Amino acid sequence: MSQSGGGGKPRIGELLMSRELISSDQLEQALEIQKIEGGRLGDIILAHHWVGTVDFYDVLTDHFRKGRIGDLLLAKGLIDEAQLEEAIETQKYWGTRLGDIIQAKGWVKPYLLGQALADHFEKPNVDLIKDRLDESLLDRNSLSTYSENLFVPWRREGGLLKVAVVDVNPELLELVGKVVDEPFDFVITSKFDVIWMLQEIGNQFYAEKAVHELANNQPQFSASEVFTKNQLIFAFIWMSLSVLAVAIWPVNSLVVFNVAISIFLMLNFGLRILLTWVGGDKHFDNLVTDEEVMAIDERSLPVYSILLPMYHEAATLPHIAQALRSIDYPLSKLDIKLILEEDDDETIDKAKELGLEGIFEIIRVPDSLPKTKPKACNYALHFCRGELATIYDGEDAPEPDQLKKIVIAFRKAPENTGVIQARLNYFNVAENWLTRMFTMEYSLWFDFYLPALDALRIPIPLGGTSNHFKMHVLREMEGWDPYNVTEDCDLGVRLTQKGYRVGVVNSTTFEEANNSIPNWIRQRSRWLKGYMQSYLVHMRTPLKLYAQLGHVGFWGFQFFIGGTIVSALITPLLFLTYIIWLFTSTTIFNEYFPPFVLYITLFNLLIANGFLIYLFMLSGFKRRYFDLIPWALTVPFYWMLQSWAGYKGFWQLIHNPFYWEKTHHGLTTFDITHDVSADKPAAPGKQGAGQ
Amino acid sequence: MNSYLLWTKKLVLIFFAALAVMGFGASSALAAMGDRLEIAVSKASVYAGPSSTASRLFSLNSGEQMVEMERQGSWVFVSVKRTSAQGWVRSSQVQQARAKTVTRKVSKSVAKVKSASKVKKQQKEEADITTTSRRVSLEGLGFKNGVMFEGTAGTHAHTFFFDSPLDTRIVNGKFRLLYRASPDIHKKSSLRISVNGVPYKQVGLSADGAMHELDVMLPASAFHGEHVKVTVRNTLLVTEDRCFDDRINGAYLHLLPESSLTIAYQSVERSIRDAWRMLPQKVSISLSEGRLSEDQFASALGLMALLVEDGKEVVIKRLPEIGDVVIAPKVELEKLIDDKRITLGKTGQVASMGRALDHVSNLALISLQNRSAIVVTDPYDVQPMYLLSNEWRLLAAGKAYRVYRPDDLRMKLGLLGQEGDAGYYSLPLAKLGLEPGVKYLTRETSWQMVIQPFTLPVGTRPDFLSLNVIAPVRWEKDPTYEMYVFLNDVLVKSARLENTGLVQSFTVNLPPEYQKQYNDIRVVVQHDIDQGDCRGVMPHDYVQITPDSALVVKKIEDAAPTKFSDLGNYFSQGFDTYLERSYLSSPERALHLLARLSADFPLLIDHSRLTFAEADDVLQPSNPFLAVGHFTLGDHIEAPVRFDRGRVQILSPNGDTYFDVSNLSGITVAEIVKASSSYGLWVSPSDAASLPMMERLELTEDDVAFIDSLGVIKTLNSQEPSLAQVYYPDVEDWFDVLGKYRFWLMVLLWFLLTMVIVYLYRMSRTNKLAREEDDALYQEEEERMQGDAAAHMHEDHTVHPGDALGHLDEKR
Repeated sequence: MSQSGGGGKPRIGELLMSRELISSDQLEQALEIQKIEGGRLGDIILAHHWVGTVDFYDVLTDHFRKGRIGDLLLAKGLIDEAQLEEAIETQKYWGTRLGDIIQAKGWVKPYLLGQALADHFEKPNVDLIKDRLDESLLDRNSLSTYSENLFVPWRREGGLLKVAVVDVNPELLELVGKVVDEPFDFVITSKFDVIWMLQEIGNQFYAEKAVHELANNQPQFSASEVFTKNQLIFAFIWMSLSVLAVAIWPVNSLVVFNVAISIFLMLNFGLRILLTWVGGDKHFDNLVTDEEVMAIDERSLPVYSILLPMYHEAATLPHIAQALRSIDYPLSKLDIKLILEEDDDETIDKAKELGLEGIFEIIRVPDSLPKTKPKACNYALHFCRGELATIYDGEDAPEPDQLKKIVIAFRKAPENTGVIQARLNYFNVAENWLTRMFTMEYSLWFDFYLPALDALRIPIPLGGTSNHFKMHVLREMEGWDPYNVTEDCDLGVRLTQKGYRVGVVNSTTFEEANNSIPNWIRQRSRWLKGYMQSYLVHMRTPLKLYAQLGHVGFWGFQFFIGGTIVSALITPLLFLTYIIWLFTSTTIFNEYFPPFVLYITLFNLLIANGFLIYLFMLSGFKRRYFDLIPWALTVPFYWMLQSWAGYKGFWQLIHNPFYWEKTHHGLTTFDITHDVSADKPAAPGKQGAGQ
Repeated sequence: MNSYLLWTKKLVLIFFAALAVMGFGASSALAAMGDRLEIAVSKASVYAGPSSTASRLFSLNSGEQMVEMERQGSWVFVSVKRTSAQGWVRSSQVQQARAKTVTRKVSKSVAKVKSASKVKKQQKEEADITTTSRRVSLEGLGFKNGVMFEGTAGTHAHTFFFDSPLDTRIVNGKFRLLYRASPDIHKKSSLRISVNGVPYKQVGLSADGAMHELDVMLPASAFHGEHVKVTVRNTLLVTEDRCFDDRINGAYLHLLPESSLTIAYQSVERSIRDAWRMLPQKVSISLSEGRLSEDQFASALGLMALLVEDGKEVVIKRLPEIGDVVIAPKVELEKLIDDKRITLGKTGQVASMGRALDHVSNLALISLQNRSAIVVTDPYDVQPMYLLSNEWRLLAAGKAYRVYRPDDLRMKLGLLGQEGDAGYYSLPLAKLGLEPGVKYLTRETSWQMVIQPFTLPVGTRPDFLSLNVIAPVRWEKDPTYEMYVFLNDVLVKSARLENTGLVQSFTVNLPPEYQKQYNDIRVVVQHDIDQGDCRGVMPHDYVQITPDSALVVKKIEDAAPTKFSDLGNYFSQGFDTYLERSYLSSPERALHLLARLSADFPLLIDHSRLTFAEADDVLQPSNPFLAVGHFTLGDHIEAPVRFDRGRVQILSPNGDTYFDVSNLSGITVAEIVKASSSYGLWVSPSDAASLPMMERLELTEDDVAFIDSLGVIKTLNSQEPSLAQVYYPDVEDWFDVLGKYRFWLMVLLWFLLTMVIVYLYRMSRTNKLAREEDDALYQEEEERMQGDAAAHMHEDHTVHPGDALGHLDEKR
């Protein structure tokens, strides 16, 4: 910003008067003040609030800019002509601003680009670390707005508030005006300065929001209280009555218990049959074709925030960075947040070492409890600028067109679709028995169950990654529950309760299947603990839940979430009973299994389990992983592992409910790739793979 | 010459008179069934019932000969000899038709008085020679319900074999057949009795449905060899029309089980063998008064086993009561004689000096208390007991006196047949009791035999029958013959007999699942009648199962016995027998049971391996064993039912009590137990004073059996407790303890679960409070920061990026 007037340019006062934004008296007064106090006329006019900042700069549009930003950068030698041309060409498709494109391409460092921008606007380029802002100017309640829009009140100079901005456009200025609610002028800074400064100053604020926002605003959905008082009273009454019944009518009570379990398991089996039947129907698939992807106008694509929460995953960082670089989406519209824990030096160092381009922003999450992924994501949410947001894990390999497919799917989906879940599958399918099992389970889950749950309006337990949200919905939901270790499952239920639909799309993110049993147990115990948490949270007010979810939704929730928990916990007991009976020919169980119970139990054991094995095979068919089909016969052993994890999770629920059992990634010897050929499960990448 | 002839005639007459007296004199004091009567008055009326109010059938003239059938009060049921007509007549009107023939003949040539006096003298002389009669009924032969001929198709026949004395002079015999025929039979229906293949009597059958009696007198000549063979053959017709008859199956002829053969013989006590052979159906054995010696017990057991095996009923008596067999030490017998508690018959006094039994060997036939008894005395030797049985002939034939161990006795005696490949043995059917002769066939004929367990080689079981049959050749339109084979009434083979006229061989598998301990095998050959005039196709053909037909038995694999039927094989290499010592004092408590085990199982108890032990002794068997008694089970012995754990209940799978073993005093329990290195059969006899006799002990399936006087009442398989299980109410297992303290356990459980809920509450509350406190701290800090921000700003404007923010610096 230069002095008004000078050269051939019209004077600023006259310009404003000609637009009738100020009166001649005001101009007179301003000039008077300038004579006495010095300073710039524009500042004086703005400081007196005679004209809004947006209008002020609107008038000056063509007068205070020094040429085009591209030319400036060219003139400064920061880019060459070819780059400029390429950027201009790209701009035609992407529809974003040239500076963003250049920055996304990583040609110019953000600081230098800021400098160019400052020159362009004739404003100072402020280094917030050297020229620290005046914290008293900050409204701490607006910290989220600052971080989401990348501006921050800097200092008051000559009575006029100076706001440090990263970009200059009328919408932003308007927003700034609303937030600061006083006359202001702007200075230029880089986005990293803003992020850094806001984290520095608002650490406490963001952390508090990340941890407590949901619990404070919607305590009924917070798992921070594992068991509510009413639940415990109910449990106590139920337990007392059960003990009394067993004491008085031991046989009958245990028969009734047996009947209840058997029928529950049978219905649980019935639901899975129903889901497979419904999910197998293509009608319910949210299909986005390649033609649709090809036809999309990239200019219409929204800014997409990608959250990458990582903890001690330095090894996978290069892979995910590469995967995201190769994603088919305008880079300038990607807002990638690398969410790292403050104490995770290893990953932070790796990030520094990689020298990631400007689209990767590192969000450093302060060390606080609970140390969970949802808390980290909540924290990062304050810095997200996208219209849509998604989460990927470090070892993920999303299909390149996934984001575009999601945009199209959202456009095609009903308005109340709040989230779309991409499918998950594994690239190291054939690594060992466990990965085969895991693959079949996930295929069944994502290819059959999820579409069916969507179709039947049963709350979908979202997968931990590759779920794509509308940002405003996510913010409305107050993010994830940091106390819930399967925050995604919980969020799925909450979304359904709020009337949002959860969609599924035909795009797959390939992950690393857990190839080590202890690691798998850790992961699965966390999932099952999270299911228990979610079940307890949503069953605090079962009638309300019933009213919100309806018949199908409620019972679907009972059997899909509740059934998974009960199956895991009860299966080993039933198997043990069966094995004891089989090998000892004992008759002590006979009276607890009267014929009709025996028939149901036998049905569950033979037909239901047989059919579940068949479903596993079916998943192999659907994905054309024919090699996996025979392995489905070993699935009972997988259920045993599941039960082990279930008990571990149950134990943790009681004595350490918020502990996040970290799953270690990067154990596979397979290449991380989304290119898993149809007839060949996966190509072994490194030596020793597939052995 | 005349005098010579006269003398000869006299002798003949005397002989016949003597014969008549000897035959029936012994029993003439009282009238009995079969007595020959005559009308003593000029005319007597015969009534349909034993009352003058009954309808009068006919009248008889003086001297009419009759046979007494039955007597009720002053009425006698008679059968008129001349016409076979039957009816009731007043006893006062009849008299014994004593030697009528003889006296009449004598009257022709000799003065009546003189002759009569001579006859009386002869009678007196002959009376000194004691005659004994022995009656064996069909029931005694094992035909408990007699024999039933059914259906009009062809001829029915059945042959009975009666033992006959070998060394004793037989006076005469009488076969009395009691029968009833269905009332619809045709008058041409007939009944024929043949003895040793010779027809003796044939009568027409009356269609009155009443019981009839037919006596066949047998001369001494009919008794040669071991047996008398009596064949009853009959033709049952209903109409004149054979075709019609062929389709009627209603006609029957029932030979009553009371039918019998009575043999009168000189009871000269010189043949132990005959005494043994002629033992009655119900044999009494006298044992010592007090406690038996072990050898004595073993002898009694061996003898009883043989008798029971022979189908006899044994009664145990104690001296001085004398039974058919006496097993006692000489000392005891002599003392009883000395004390005049028993009297010694004349023939028994073999020693002229010294003690009465000084020269008596350990096996003797002695007259005691005016009856002859087989006396087995010390030194006891079990072997003669076996030799007394079927194998006596070896001794009688003068072969070397050979002693066999009982368990290989049968093998050595040639009953086994020849050993084939792979443990198969072939036993000729003729030796197992199948009628070997040719059968006369019109419509149907059958063979029947029972394979008794003790006739099989030890450790084998029937596998298949190898039947060789010769069927009749047929004329042009003669239809086929079929053969059916039944095993225990299960049809196991059906085959067509080819028209070759040659021997046809059939293999008939005997499935183990249909086999029992005693296996009944029936072969039926039937002739199909084609359509048309059946009169023309009623051939009288012959069919035969040739004597080389055989039962093939298979050696059972040696294996741990899991059910009773496995024990025979398991014990085949010998076993120890443990008996409770108290049985020496009260042998009746064990002998019946042991005899049945021996006969029916069959267990060949080796008497040299008998061990007597006290009831509470802990047995340590190292070989396969049989234990009978209330011994204490060692801890190392695994038994399905234990009696050292208090009461024993048998429960259904649902826990209902089938029965309480302890409450049933008459229950004997047999079970297979496992000792440390061997298996055994453990029998815990009931506590009843003497074990009741039972007819048969079928122990085949399962490994635990509950036995009462009727035999096996319940068995259970301890390996498969889903049908019945053993429960000891007095023994508290952890389940019982749980049940007993259920209430307190539930209280404890409730308390623990309550504690868990309290813990959860505290934990939840702590978590909630911690979160709220944390939030409050944040809020406080936030407020503080809001307040201090300006001051902080003015204090220091220059901030140096820390290490943690280095990455940001880098990025800029």
